[in-house]
Formats: sequence, structure tokens, C-alpha cells
Amino acid sequence: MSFRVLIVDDSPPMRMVVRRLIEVSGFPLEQCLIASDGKEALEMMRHQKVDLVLTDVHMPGMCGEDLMRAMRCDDRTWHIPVVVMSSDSTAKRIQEMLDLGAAGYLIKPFYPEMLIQQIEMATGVARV
Amino acid sequence: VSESGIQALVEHCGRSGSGLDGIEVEAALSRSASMVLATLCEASAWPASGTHCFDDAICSVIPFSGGKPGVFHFIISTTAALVVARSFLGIREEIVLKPEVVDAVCCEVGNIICGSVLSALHAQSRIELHCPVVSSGREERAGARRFQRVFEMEQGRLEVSLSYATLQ
Repeated sequence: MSFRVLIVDDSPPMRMVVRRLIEVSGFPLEQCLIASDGKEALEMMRHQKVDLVLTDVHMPGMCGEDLMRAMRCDDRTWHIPVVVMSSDSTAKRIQEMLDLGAAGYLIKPFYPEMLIQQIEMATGVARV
Repeated sequence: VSESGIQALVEHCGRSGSGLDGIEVEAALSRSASMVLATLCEASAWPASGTHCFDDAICSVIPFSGGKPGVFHFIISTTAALVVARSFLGIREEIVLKPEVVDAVCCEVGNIICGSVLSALHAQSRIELHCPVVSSGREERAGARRFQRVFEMEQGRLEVSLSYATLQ
């Protein structure tokens, strides 16, 4: 089963690195979409199929926390698994994001293998 | 706690501007900078003593708020920044990197170090990191107490510093 992933991060270099890691990791990837904040991500999810969201927390415009709240209130997006990627490893933040339904929380900086594990756990899709 | 003990604590917090011990903050700066550079850029940085002026450097500024607001600075010499950017992006030497790309990587690396430091120092608080920007120099409030660490890298120098707003 191939899947479509949406990377939400305001940092172009981070989006590029995460995208490349996923593309070379051996996952059956159908498409890798990118958004620079939560609002742009929501629009994309409402109009096209997305199987997994990887999102930063601190972003201008709509932050990762507000994105998750909005996703959970929308029939078109509530079911999509979300893995949070952030350098914020405070207990409150992690608990908040997990309470909002995050499938995983990846603390930056992370090694490629950690990202791959989180994707496997969140999607149930294994690498080829 | 005795009255004199409370007074000593108040004075200590007033001096540091953060209620944190300087050694603890500087240790967190060292740990986070080394760990982030090694993990994301496969780069090594060795602690250096004193403060240094940079003739040619990129300065990334990250304001933060939450329990203890302040500003984080990531200052790196341009030669080292180029190496860090190439390694972070996985781009070969023969490909020319635009200055704005190098700036963006410095902002992201600085942002990650900042998040790591603040998480270590304020693990039970809520922190908010604001957008990093490249600046021509430091952006601190007058009277802010600054904690900093300077590193030597193979290709240049690096400084990370954390300044808390005075009255927090």
C-alpha cells in the first residue's frame, strides 16, 4: 500500500531534509506534499487525500497545536495520523500534543531511523 | 526558609535575570549545541574560552516567550556556516549554495539548539519559540543577563547565547 505524506514546517531546509529522508527510506510513497504552516496544511488535507501528517509545533500563522485541534473537528481530516516533530521536549508540550491525538512525538534533532520508526508505527506501512 | 535565605534567593534571581544558575545554563548550551551539530550536521565543536568577535559571521536570532521570555543567538562564521549547511542538506561541495539557503539552515539549526536548551532548562514549563531571523547583530534588551558559550570548529567559530529579559 503506497501512501501520501504531508510535511508541515515553516523551515524550508527542514522540509527538504525530511522529504529526502522519506523518499530514500524505502517506503512505498505515492506523494510527498509540503506546507509551511497549519492553515496551508488544512487546506491541502481538505482537498486531497493525505495518509500521514508530519508537523512542527512552533510555526507562524497556524501552529501545530492549532492544526491538530482543527483536524480533530473536521470530518475530512480527523482520522489522519499525525506525528509531531519539534525541538520542544517539555513535558507539557508533549502531553498536550499526545492528548490532542498525536500518534507520535519526534524530538529534533533526530536520526533518520527514528523518523522511519515513527512513520511505520503511525501508518502501519513497512518499508519495501 | 529564613528571611535572610529568601533575600539571598531574590538577590540571586535578580542577578541572573532568570532564576537559573549560570553554570547550569552554560552547560545546557554546550550540550545542546554539540549534540545538534553532531546529529544534524556530523560536525564537531570544541568549547573555547572567552568571548570572540566575528569578522564575517551569520547571526540567527530566536526570540522566545512563555514562563521566562528572552532571546537566543546563534552566531557562526560564514566559512563554518557553509560547511554546516552542506552537511545539513546533504549537498555536495561542487554545488553552489545561495546565501539565503545558508541563512535558512543557520536559522533552523539555531532554532533546534534553542528548543533543546530551553527544554532542558525549563522542562516543566511551557515555552514558545518565535520565528528565527538573520540579524546583523545582537538584539537584547538593555540590562538583560546573557549566558554564552563559544566553540571552535574545524572551519571557524560558533557562539550560542541565551538572554533572559531582566525583570523575569
